[in-house]
Amino acid sequence: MPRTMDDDALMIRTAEGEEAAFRLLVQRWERDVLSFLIHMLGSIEEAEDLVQDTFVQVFKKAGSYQATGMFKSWLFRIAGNLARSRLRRRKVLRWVRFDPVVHDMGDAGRGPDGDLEHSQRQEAVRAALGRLPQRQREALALHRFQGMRYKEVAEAMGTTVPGVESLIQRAMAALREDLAGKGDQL
Amino acid sequence: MKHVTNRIQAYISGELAGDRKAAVEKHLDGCPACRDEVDRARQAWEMLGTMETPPSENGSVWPAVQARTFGRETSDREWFFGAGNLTRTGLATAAVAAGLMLGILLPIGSDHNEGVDSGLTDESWLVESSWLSDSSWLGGDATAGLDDILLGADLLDEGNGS
Repeated sequence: MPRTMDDDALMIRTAEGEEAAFRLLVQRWERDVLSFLIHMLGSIEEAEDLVQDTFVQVFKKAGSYQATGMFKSWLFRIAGNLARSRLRRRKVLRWVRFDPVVHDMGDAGRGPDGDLEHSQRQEAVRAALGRLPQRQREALALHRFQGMRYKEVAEAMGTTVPGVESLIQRAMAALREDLAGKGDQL
Repeated sequence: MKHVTNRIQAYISGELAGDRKAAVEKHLDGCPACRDEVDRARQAWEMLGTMETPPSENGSVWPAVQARTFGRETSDREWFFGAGNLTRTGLATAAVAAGLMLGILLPIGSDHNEGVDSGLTDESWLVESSWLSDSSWLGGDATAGLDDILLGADLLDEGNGS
């Protein structure tokens, strides 16, 4: 199985039951999906659970996938739906939180002087991201962290390009205001 | 002069092209306030780009996904311990809830059998709990267990009546 095979071709083979094709897809995208879900949920543990669920859904829906070169949007639509569902459930259970501990990340290779300032800033930005309204956070995560164009984000979120533009504009304004209010500059 | 504040994010994201991009740039040429806003927005955008993704302590999800898709048989142990942490928590919570339900239901049954007023008329707890007799929602073993309970209640009633 050539590793350069495109996603549509891998999906077609997955739908035909070819395990190696599906494996390649999972390994190609799992890191990006995990990163997106961490930004959405603020919890590595929950994100890891949903990465599995996302790919199980991909497998189940492989037969209905339309090979139009929009695999990434399709994949993140599934991941986004699962994340929104998880967030709704959290809301019902009043578990809403954005745990800073789970976001504590390593700063390998950074000097000791830069360590504290860097990690504090990262932490402040992550917390501010967690306070954004869900759809703004989703649009921003897909665009800024997954490098998706507005059109792809719109496809993934089931909305329009102007809708995405508005969400991202408001998200960035809110982030800057939030951080400015805490004496941090973004 | 109408400012272009609402287009600035799309502009620095490289999402504007053609006439729309030209219109924003034309405005920026003559508007220091919007130029400052572009600088601030660009700084924020670049700062956001330096955000790091927390490292996952676990490896690839492939083995777990493979088990759930290509049907590798899982042992009883894997069924529980191979599940995610949240799934395990959910299963454990369900088990505790089931235990509590039993703790609540069984004393009601024994009150009835001892003639204590449980708020239900004689025999009525069995009638009103007739959904219990539809045991299709239970597994085979559980159904057998329920039959035993009901049979035990009948025998006690017969004993009381004689």
